[in-house]
Amino acid sequence: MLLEFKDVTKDYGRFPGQAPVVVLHHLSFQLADGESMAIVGPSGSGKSTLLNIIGALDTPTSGQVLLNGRDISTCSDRELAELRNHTVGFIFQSHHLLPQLNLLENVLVPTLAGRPQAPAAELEARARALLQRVGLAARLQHRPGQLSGGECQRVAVVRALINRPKLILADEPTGALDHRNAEELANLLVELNREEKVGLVLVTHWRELAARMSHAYELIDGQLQPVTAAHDRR
Amino acid sequence: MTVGKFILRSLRFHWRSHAGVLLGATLATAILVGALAVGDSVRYSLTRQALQRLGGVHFAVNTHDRFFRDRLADELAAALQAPVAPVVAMAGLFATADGRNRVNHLNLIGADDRFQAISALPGSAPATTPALTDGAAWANTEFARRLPLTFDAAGKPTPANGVIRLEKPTWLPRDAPLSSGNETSTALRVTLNTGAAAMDRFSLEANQAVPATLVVARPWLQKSIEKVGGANVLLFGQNAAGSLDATQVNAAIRRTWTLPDADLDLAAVKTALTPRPGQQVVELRTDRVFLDTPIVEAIATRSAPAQQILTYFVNELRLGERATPYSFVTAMDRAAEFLLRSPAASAAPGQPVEPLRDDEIIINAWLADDLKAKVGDPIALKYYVVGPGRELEEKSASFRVRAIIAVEAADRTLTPKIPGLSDKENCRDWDPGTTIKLDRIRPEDEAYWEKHHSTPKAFVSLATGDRLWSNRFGHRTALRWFYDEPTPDRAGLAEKIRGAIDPAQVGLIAQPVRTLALKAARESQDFGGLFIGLSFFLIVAALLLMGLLFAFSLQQRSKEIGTLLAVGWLPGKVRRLFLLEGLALAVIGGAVGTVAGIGYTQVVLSALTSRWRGAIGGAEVWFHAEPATLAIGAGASALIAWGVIWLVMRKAARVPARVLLAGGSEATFTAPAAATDGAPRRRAFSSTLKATVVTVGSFLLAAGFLIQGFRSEHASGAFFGAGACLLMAGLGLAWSLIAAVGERGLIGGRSATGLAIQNAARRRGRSLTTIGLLACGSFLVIAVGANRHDASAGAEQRSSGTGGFALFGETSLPLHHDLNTPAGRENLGLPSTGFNAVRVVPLRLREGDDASCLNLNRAQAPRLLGVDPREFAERGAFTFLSSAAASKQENPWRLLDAAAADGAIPAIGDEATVRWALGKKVGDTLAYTDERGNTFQLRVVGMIANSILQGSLIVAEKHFVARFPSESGHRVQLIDVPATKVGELSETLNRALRDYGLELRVAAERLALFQQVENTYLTIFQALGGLGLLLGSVGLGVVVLRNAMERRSELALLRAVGFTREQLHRLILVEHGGLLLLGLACGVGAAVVAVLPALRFSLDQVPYLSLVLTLLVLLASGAGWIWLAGRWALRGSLMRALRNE
Repeated sequence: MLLEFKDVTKDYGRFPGQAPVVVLHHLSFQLADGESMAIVGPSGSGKSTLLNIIGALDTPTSGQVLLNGRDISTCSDRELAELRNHTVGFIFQSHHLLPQLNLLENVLVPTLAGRPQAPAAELEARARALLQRVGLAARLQHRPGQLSGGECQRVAVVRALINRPKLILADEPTGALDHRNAEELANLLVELNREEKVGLVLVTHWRELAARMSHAYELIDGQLQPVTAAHDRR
Repeated sequence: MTVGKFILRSLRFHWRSHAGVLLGATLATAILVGALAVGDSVRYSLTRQALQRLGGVHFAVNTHDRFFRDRLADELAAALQAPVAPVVAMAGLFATADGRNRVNHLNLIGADDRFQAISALPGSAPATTPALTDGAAWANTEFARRLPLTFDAAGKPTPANGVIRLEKPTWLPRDAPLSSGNETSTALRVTLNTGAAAMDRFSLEANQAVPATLVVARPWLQKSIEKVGGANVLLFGQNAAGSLDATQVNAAIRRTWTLPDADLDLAAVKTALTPRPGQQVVELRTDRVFLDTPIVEAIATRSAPAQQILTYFVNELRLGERATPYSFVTAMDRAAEFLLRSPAASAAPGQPVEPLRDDEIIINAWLADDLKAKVGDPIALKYYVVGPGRELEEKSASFRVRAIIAVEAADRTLTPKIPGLSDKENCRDWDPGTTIKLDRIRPEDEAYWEKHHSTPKAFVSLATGDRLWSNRFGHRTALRWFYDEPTPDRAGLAEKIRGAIDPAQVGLIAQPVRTLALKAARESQDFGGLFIGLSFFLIVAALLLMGLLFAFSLQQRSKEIGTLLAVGWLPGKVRRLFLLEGLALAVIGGAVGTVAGIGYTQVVLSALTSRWRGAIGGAEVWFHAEPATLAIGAGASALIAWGVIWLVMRKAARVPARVLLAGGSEATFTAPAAATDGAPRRRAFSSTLKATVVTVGSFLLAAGFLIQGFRSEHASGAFFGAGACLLMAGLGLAWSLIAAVGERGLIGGRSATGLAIQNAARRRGRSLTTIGLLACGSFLVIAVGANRHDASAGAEQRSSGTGGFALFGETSLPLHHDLNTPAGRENLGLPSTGFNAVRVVPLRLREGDDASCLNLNRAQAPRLLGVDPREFAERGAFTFLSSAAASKQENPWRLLDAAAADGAIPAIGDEATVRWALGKKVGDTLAYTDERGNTFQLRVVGMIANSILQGSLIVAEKHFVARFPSESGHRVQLIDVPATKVGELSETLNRALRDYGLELRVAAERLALFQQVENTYLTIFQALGGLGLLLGSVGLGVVVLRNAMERRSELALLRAVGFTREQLHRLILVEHGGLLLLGLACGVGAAVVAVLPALRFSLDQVPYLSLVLTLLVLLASGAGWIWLAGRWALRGSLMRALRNE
């Protein structure tokens, strides 16, 4: 199993005399290798928190999260960083590309985090291939400032894939894009999920996109409910 | 893609935000490197000057007023295979023919070609070789400047001639009993020449001030001062191998010197006064009248036992009503045996003779007849003794006549040659320097003189002679050896005597002057350290500014940090990445700063030789920077800058990636409480606890420094310590205040002001840095301003630096008469009236290194002043910063009279002299060499506050004359005179004592001269403080801009809800005005408290008005910056910011 949540609870603000704000409430679910999952829900429902916990950027208050078979609550900071680097690939609503680096270099930033998984030439070849795959082969030396928002977001997708992760976590990746770019990126994510057999957890408000995933849930009161009405709320 | 490439890309991309960081690092490096290079330059310049003043001289013998044979130079040159030049060096003064222009403290050198050759710098030929002809004097540049000399088109100097006045050397020190007191100076007419570059800066003293020198032909000078064939200085060059050292030179002197080099004369004497009839007599005597005691002890008691003789001049021999004036009386060992057994004596030969008892006297028949005395009669004897000064005290002693001998039983050989007395044919021509009433001389006295000349009329035992007439110049006038053989082995005896004496005892000792000069330069005032000290707060300000700007840069890049963390970089690796980037900035800053530092050094040196000239006593300074110094400066500052970056970085990347990615720049260092899992209250408590610990700890430390400052002399150390601690405490308090505002919410109610105050607490680190920057600058400016005082304030008080004296006088030639007595004034040609309210404290002077703040070299042998301590003690003159006195009731001046068990001589000095020039403190000792070459210790027993006595150590006159009996007369005069009479008295003294080279100065002006140095340092300090404040203001401006720019959307929102632009501007002014006020309060508060120990004696001299004005200017300038930055930030359309949001 790629991802397993067992009775996970997350709350904030444990101050004396104040009731904690419960974001995730005894949440349990599973995601197998190569599966995709969409999470929808209103703002403030805890979607990003859930994604951050999956991506080892946050820790649950209680419960167990198994990522690729490892309980992330038992991992050290170094192991968590390794998980983020090798097992998980992040795509944010904003691309967060480094403005000082060109596209190729931006894609390679995760490879600098730890011990390289492959020779530098091989990594660069993969970066080039992936960028070609997303239609940016001609823009390798361009800086993020010279690209459109959609192009930047495609680079962010490639950056997430560079270390061959088992799971892509995408936090409203189309949120800052216009309709056409959003469509293109959605297609890309679905294709990658199929072709590369990479698991995908997608947080989105776009129910049409959610419907294209293996599973689609809505986060309500800290619980995941299967999505029944698949209409575009964008 | 590598980390290195990543860093390079970042450096290039973020160059705008890095420029500020780079500027801070460059500034800090430039200031540090500049300070160190100033130190290098001063040290290099002093070394260069030391070598210039010595030329090729490596060793020197200086016997001061003792003259040796100038041929000794040839003998030593042959022995050492090195150049040796004999020189006659005299102190004097020069006056033009019309007397209008004068050069006091003239260095007169009688030299020959050997001096020219040896004083030239090695490897360089003299620019011109002056022809040293009779009456021609070659002036150095300093002489030409001081006179001044002008030159016509042909280069001929005007005035062309003048008169050199100098003290004529005498065999007998002028303070010695029987010494002629008059005719002390002689005048030499000379024509002036210039251009002898080789000896332009020549001097044997480790002073940076070049003496005014005239070089004349040695033979001509020797003749003029009646010292033909004599010299008092030997200059030694290095031998060809460069291997000569002082030990070898002194060994050669010991091998080569002869008795005449020590003014000793071993001669056959024709006298019948021998133990056995017909014996030959060889006598050791000296033209100095009294044989040096150490020499007598070395010879007579150890090497070659001899008969010891002391003949003294007495005022009167009296029996009842009858008195015989002015006679010689001889004390000698075995007096009775010699006199009563001699063929001419009345005692029967062959009978045992009882030694003379202490109360017995033998008189000759002439005296017995004159006094009508017979054996057993009481004889009273009156004579003068010399006190610690030159004052004569008449004493008397009583004897009983043991025997009466024939006049011929003794002879005139017993009496030494006394200039002005025993060399006169007629006793009416006597001029012995003592008060002789010539009208007391009767015809019968003249008849005796005519017939028997100076033959002693009475004889006492040697022990009695010692008791009555032993003095600091010696206690024997001759030593005699008796030989049965007709031709005594005089050469053998001379060798025996020579072997017994260390030539150092008569001053024939070579000092390694070059080594000492280089040591003086090497140990000179550490200007590098001083400038680092002066620039410390400026460096701190630059680093704070740099840290602030680096923090801004990091905040701008918080999302970058978040991204790196999110893609799997460990926080440590992210920090390392930014640290490496910071290192690159620090290194670039170090490199650029080093170049800038060299430029900064040039600027400082140019200021030190012009505007700040006072700080280095007018010395010449050349730029010089050791590569190692530059490397150390650049490396150290890069390291420090990197350290600051590390401090800033150490908290970065600790914030979770999701917060960084979500929160933007505000989250870089402090995550919002709700976003983290820690316990915010615990953190707040820990932060408050830290601030409290820092505040309380710093206050306690500051209190410690302040108490130390009030108790001891370390006021300046206490100032820096207390100042830094109080600043820290102030910053701790400010932190607590900001934290309290941040924790507790709005202060000042729900108003715009309350909102502004709350805003100031949002970025605590940023606010605290701004406060720190402003505090550093204002601390410096106020502390320095408070230390600047006026020398003339309270100058009439005894406790002030003038000691309450109105005038300070120093003569080139010593005064041998007391200005306090009518007789003394008459001898000096002063009017008998007008001195009723005048009282003079005379001081003896032994020339040495100037140990004042005007000399940058480390004084090796400082000038010594000898004074009667009662003069200062009774007046309560000067203020002691510390002393070895056991209680507050004991006047520290009286400590000078005490003799330490270990033989150390107590000395008192000015703080600048003891602490800074000599590097000593109370209780420390300093090795000094007396005029007989003996090393003795001076122990510092007191340190007085900034005074006119700066530059010298002060010892009791009695100790002074014991160690330097040849230093006769007084050269320094401290004069008490009512303020209304200062002008009139100055005029009178200047006129009467101009031939003594009197330089009279109003005491407060002399004090001001020394304070000028301190004030120049304060000016430098203030200039650097001003620069620091400028950095603080820039920091404040940047923070205002930054805060306002970051909050443009907030401000836009406020604008949208109805705030006017003016209200927003006011909001910014109030928020940052609070920081300005806190910064100034910290700095000014710390400064005011920290200066208290140093200013406790001079609170009335603090320029309060100018301090208040300075403070107002600081406030106004800070407010101006905030206003400007606020205006700039609020320009354009704020609503656009809202739309972007």
